Amino acid sequence: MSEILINAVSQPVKAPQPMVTFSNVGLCFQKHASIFDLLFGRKKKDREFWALQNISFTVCEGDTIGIIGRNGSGKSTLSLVCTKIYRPDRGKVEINGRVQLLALGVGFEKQLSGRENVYINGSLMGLKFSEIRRQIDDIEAFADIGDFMDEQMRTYSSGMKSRLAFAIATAIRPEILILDEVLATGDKAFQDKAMERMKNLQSLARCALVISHNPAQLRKLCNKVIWLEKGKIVMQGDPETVLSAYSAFCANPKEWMAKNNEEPNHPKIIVN
Amino acid sequence: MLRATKDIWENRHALRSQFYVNIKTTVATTRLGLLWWILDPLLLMLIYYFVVKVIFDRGGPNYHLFALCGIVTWQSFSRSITLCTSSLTSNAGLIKQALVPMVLYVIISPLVQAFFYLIGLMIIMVWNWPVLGFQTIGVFILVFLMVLMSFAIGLFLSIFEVYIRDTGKLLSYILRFGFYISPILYSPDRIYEIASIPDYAKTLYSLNPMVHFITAVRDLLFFGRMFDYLPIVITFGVTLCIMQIGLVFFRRVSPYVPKMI
Repeated sequence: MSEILINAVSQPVKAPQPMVTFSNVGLCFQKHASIFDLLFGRKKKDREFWALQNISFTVCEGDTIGIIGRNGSGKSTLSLVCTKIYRPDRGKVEINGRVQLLALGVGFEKQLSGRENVYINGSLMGLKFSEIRRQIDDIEAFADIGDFMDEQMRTYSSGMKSRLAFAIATAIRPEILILDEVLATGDKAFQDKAMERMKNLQSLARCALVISHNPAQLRKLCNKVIWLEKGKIVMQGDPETVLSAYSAFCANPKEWMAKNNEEPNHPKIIVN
Repeated sequence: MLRATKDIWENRHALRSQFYVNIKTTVATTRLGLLWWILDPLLLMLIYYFVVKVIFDRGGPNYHLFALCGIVTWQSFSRSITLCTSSLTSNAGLIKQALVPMVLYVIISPLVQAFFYLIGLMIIMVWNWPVLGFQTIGVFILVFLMVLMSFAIGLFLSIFEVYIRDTGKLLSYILRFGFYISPILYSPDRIYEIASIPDYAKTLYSLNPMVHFITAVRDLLFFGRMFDYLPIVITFGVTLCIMQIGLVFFRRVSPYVPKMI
């Protein structure tokens, strides 16, 4: 009893620790240049493409942040900056913790069996073989793909692949989990199960970024949503506000722009 | 070099699994499966044996073994370099997902090829068993040197390939040329004997590390004697220098690579 009391005293309600901090991040791609471009002067500036501009946000412990936006708005690029795989050209990124990015079917070797792929994928995520061996039953049970576990990966449906990928990535308990449209596939039963596990991860005081095109899912999971358009943040804040604005926008993007007179240059930030 | 060793050691499990993937996927879908590891050098030998021995009626006694020594060595070298070159571009998916140091993708092909190289050498050993002896252990030194050599060159080429995709194409021509200026189908003495070749060209020729390497392999497995230490030690030294420069270069440039692939 006393122990609990001591704990309660020594750990007052502390401010949640920031896990991911972006300040004014910009990222620029060089478009492919052939030797003719170099000789006959297309200017360097024309060959640049800014995939992200002036991105600032913070993800704290226990947060689940949703990222929404049209195709090509920079969502996946953003997730790659989070994993430190892309180095930003402008601004600063601070990340405290082990990050795992989960995208569909990447790194699976389709000539090998599902079980072998668990080992391969797990080891690429930095697990030891002994750790994987300990967890493989758990992974198998969660993926729930039956005998296909020992079949070659090329026979898998895309839903099965994402089941397995999700099972592996969440089994390693990363501190920061980034899901790039993984929850989209898979049947209803699996989505519910995945959702539950996501909630579990949240309760373990770790944080997650979820990229999705499904507003309902984001509403259920996230406590904050970021809306990207043309590499800039249009809006960030509580899911309800952002998502309803986004749906209004999606109904007719051009008109919305005109009406709100809002090129995404001036992000409207809602802090809740 | 220390840092690279540390990186590789810390990710040894990933290395092991990638090694396994590479070895397994080369044969996974073929009917003959593992037999291909052995068939590959033998079939190549058959082709060159046909050309040199049957058509040109050249080569000495046991020419098939003589040629096989050169062929497996060259195959291993040229394959590791070719695979090293495309190692970053072909693993783009993994590089963008897994947080494994990129140097791992470069070293994997030399290691895998070393495995196949050992199998090739083993075939020669079994075939030419009477010459085996205590000195045969020397092949491990040579295989190790082969890994380092192709890794050192691969560090540069893999990065070049990312920025200039023509590298791989150009390389295939250079390797083809390299095949003939290395003593694979002939003995290096042949070059030194020809009077019409000027001396400076002969010196230049002797700078080709493959000349000494293949000679050493033949000393061990064809003639059954220890190889000359000096050329191999020098090759080792030069390789280590190039590798160190390559590692520094690689570390500087690699953060910018994911965006380019």
